[in-house]
Amino acid sequence: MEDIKQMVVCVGNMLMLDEGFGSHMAKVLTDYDTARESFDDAHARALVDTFCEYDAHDDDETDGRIPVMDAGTMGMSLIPYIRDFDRLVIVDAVDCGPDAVPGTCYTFTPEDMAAYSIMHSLHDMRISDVLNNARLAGHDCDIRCVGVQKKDICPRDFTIDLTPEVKAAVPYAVGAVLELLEIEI
Amino acid sequence: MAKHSIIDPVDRIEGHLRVEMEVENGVVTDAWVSGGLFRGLELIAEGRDPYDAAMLAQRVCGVCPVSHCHTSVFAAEEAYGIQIPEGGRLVRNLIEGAQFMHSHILWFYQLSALDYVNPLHALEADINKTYALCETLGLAQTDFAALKDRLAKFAQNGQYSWLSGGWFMDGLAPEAYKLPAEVDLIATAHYIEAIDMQATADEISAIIGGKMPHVQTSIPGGTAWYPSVEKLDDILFRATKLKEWVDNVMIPDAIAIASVYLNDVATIGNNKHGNFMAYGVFDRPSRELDDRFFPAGIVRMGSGAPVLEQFDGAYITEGTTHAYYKDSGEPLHPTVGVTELPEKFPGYYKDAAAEIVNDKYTWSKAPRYDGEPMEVGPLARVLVSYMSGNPEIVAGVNAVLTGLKLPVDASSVMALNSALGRLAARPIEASAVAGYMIDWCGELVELLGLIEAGAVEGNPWFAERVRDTGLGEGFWEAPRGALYHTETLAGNTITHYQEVVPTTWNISPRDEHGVPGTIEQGLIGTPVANIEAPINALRIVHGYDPCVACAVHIVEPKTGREFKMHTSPWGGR
Repeated sequence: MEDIKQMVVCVGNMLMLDEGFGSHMAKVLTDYDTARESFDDAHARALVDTFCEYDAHDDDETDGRIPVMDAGTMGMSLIPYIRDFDRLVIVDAVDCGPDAVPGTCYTFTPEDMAAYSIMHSLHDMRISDVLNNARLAGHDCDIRCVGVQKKDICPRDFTIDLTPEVKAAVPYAVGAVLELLEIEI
Repeated sequence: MAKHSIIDPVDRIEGHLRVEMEVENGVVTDAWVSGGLFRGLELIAEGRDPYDAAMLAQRVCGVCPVSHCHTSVFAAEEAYGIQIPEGGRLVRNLIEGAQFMHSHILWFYQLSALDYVNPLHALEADINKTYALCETLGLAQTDFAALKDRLAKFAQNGQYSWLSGGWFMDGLAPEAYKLPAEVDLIATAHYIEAIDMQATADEISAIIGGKMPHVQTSIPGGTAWYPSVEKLDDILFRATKLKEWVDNVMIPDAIAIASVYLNDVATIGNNKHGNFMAYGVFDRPSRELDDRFFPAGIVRMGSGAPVLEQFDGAYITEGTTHAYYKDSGEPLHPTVGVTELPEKFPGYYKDAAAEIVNDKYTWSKAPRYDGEPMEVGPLARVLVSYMSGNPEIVAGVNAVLTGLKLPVDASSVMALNSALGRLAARPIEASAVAGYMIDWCGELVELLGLIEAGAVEGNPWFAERVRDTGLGEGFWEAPRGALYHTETLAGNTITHYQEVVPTTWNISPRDEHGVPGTIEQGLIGTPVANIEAPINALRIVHGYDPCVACAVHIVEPKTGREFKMHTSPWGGR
């Protein structure tokens, strides 16, 4: 396990309510105070001892911790990381349809995502498109995904927060991240 | 009766463009090119100081911001009454060169190649034959078997991604793709490598400019970035890598593709007027426009062998007769040019049902030089450099002509007034620019040595302004052609700002005399066998790399058949 180079990539837009789930998760994993909102003292300390913020200029100096990147809404720009890492765990909000219960936590692979043959715009980029293109260019990486069913990603008022249902899923999502990274804390 | 053919928007370009053509008996008889974006940056610049203008002006584009920044600072420096010192000149050339490398590689592979290359056809390539062909063409090699496997997997999973923008995908123009499968495979490999090469070029821009796009260190007076030997070494390493790649991959690719399509590309896209114009780019110590590495000049070959004339900026005018703007009356020199919005948007069609285009049909003004339309861009620069005797360009053009088994003479040079010329011009320029960049790194290292030895007086990187009221004009080149900014300063505040950008010359509408613009003229006479797949028209338009998100519309009034293409600017359809 030691020699696998892995990173957690959190995706999302924190200005869009539950769409910001990924950004919130990046803070939970690396910031003690944010972690304390969802965990007890011991677990929050264990998280910030296990993870660190990704530093593009110093990505080898992690003191054995796993880097976490808040990737915002980047698409193809993920390719350099796919090239340089053996395994990425992607954390994002998902929409599994009208019957899905908000806050439900899923784990899946990029291949599980619905295929469509036409990409309409670079703004329409999905992780499976990024991975396909990276593989075509000869770069491969074990990508695993954690998704939490969104409740609302169209806030009427300006807000930076999650809906209570989705926020309640944080412990499950953190558990899923640890499981996919194949580590215990 | 004529038929109309429309490509709207034209994909694989930067911005929004619409091209509408009237087709009679399979040939384009008339064309309207319409820019769908109002720029308005001139209005933003007014009331600000020149440092702000240089930072704002480059926001016009994410592909050629460096050129806009530089043209703006040249205008400011003339208004300030200063000339930048030698170190500033070399650094400016170096970062501009990096942008040319990025843009030319981007154009050749990502924006243009899919008009000629069918990556899915590459799946039929014979691997042994592919290696043998590389050997013959003198091309660098890669693991073609592995690429073919990856390509097969990519195609099999049904998520075509960027391939879904290619015309080969839907069988729209199957006869239009002619490359042997082995060449398709080689070109696809290089399409992928080209992405890394663009990153390498942009790394140079970021080393100097702090980031890319939109650089921070080119300012009126010189450069805010002072090089060190270590930084120059980082740049030299990348420039050398680019030079080798262009010479061993991009130029042989251009010859391999162009030789298969020679009869297609050499016979379409003649701009008819035969006028080519360059303001010149990459300053030499003299700072004279016609002494630049790629010099300023006018080449005319409308009637007879090409002739080189001296360029004089006083002859530039812009007219608004057929543009949406409030009419400025007589065409005006840009130093007194007006950009005034109409009270009411006139609309593209006079009669949409009958598809009669309005008298005013574009946001692009009609620039003219001494009353005539001009083609600007890599081909114009290459022709001016060739006629001026630039040794790198002369060698590059002659090598490509020889590679295509064409005679090295005036008739072949005239044949470059075509889609072929625009296809060949960028690789030829890229090779020359990468070579210059290597030299400039050396000159800067020498300059650092002189500075350390105390042999340089004053600041070699930056000059303070000597006045803050005056008129300035910047003449420079973006990768896609002659670029002009002018500003009038009063007490360091801009009171008047105008830009005449390269794409405006090429996508110009008719002028006040009804004379069509360069691409409009270039499209007339183009064979369009199938108005639903006007690939020749697309090849012509792509040859100009128009920097407006773009569209082409073809209508056939006789049958009422119409073709409309809706795409995202980057290529999906």
